[in-house]
Amino acid sequence: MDPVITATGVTKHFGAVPALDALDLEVPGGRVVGFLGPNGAGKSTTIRILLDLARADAGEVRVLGVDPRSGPQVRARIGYVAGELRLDDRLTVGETLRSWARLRGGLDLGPAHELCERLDLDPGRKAKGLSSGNRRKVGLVGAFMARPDLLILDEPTAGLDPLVQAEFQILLAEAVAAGASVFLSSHVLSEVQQTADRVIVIRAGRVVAEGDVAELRHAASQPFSAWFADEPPVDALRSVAGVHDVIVRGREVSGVVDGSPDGLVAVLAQHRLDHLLLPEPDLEQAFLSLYEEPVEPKDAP
Amino acid sequence: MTSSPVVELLARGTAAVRRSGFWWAFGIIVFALVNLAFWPSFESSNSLAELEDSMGSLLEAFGAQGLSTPAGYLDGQLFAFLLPLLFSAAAVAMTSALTSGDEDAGRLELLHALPLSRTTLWLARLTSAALVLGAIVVATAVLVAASLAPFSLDEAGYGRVVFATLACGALALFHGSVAYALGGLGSSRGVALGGAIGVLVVGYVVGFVLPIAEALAGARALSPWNWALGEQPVTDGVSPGRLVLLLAVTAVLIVVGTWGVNRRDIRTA
Repeated sequence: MDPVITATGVTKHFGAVPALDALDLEVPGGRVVGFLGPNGAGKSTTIRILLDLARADAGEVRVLGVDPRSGPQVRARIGYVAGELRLDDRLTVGETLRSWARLRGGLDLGPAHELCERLDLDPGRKAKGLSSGNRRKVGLVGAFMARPDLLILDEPTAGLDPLVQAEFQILLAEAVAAGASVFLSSHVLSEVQQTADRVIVIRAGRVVAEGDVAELRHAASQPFSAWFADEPPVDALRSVAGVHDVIVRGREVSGVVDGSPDGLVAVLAQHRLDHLLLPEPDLEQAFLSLYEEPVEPKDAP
Repeated sequence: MTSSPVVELLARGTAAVRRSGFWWAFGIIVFALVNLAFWPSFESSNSLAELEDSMGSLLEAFGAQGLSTPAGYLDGQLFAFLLPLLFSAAAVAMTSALTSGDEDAGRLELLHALPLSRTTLWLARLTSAALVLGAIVVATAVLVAASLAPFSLDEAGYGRVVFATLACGALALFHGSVAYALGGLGSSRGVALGGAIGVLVVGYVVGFVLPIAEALAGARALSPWNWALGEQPVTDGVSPGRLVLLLAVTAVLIVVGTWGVNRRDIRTA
């Protein structure tokens, strides 16, 4: 499938401050692509340029095959969830959605009603006084109800409870199954790794790494700690392929396993355990170590 | 239910300033009618003629010559200063609220992300403010005209009073367009509001205060107030030629604002 977003050499400054530094980006169609980076990395600026809310100083951008500056028509094919959603506080949720439907040329409101039910959003509530999570739901309904070809989502699950986040995952899967592409921006890795099958990492206005989430998960390093009921099998653990940095403290053994933990689990299964810790691998660290730049400590002088 | 995006933009824009527009209209109309109500008592005393004799040039600065006639009284009390000032203040407040104000608050970002051109969105916002302003002006014109006979001011002429009110509305539209142009060029609401009020005040000074000095009498021709109203719009009538000039400059300001917003980033809140 053709890429739905391409950016070549896109540069943007705010005064003397560079926001994007010759950004090159390609988002393949028909997939959920995570756009990951710390606050201030340039994610929102990139999205604003894709939507023609901001203008690049230099470079070329194509969204669904056209320059976003060429006219508003391309935005009829885009659903957008803003990071900071400002609603007209005088309107109810239902009136807000009706207004957006009219501004899109008269959309059928059937999908909006269905989405409100699925996300547990009351259309009769006034926008004024909505929690940040409910405002986020209004944004999600507004983006999905148009059944767009491209969804651009800026921190879409911030403030949502776990049940609604799960429903959001289903909505995303349905949209992709129906042929839509998704570009999901976030500074939270867990949000991206739950939803995306490809990740692009941006730092200081340029893409520093990109790859498939499954590939990363497979290659990532994973810390482990095991508390044995009897004498720990230290030699057997050290001999497992990929296990390193093994530390023994009495009956506790901790270390790191690269790639699949299958061999480690096979050894552990032969012994009686009191407790086992095998947390999620740090994909961001894996990403950067695998592809390009090491992660600089945030508090480094 | 209509599905036209432009109609929806106008509906939302007028709804956003409807309440403030109502209170502007209420205040302006009450102010106008109270002023008209004083005429019978002023007419029966000689106080206005005495005031004119003693303070001629000061009254001229406020466009209030000939106060002892119905037309002069209407000019001095309403049309030469306070009515255009209040209409213009309302126009500037509503226009800046719907354009730079909503942009400052981040409420335009989502609208700009919809399939609407910047030109359509911003012109719809200006038109919304102009429609509410138009309703204020028409309501004022109707009620003032209807009150002329009860307050013995009908000698001034209904047509002249209505045209003078509409000319005040045109001046207000001009000042609203100044706020629109500044907002379109990227100013915050504070700057757009302050800039437009500054043009309003400077225009008055150039049109009425500077010409008191004979050497500066020519300055009057540079004032939008003069283009809209002349010196005494009810007494002398409104000049269509000058009004066309005002509307042409207004159109230029609208073009400048629309051009500006098409050439910049939309601000985030």
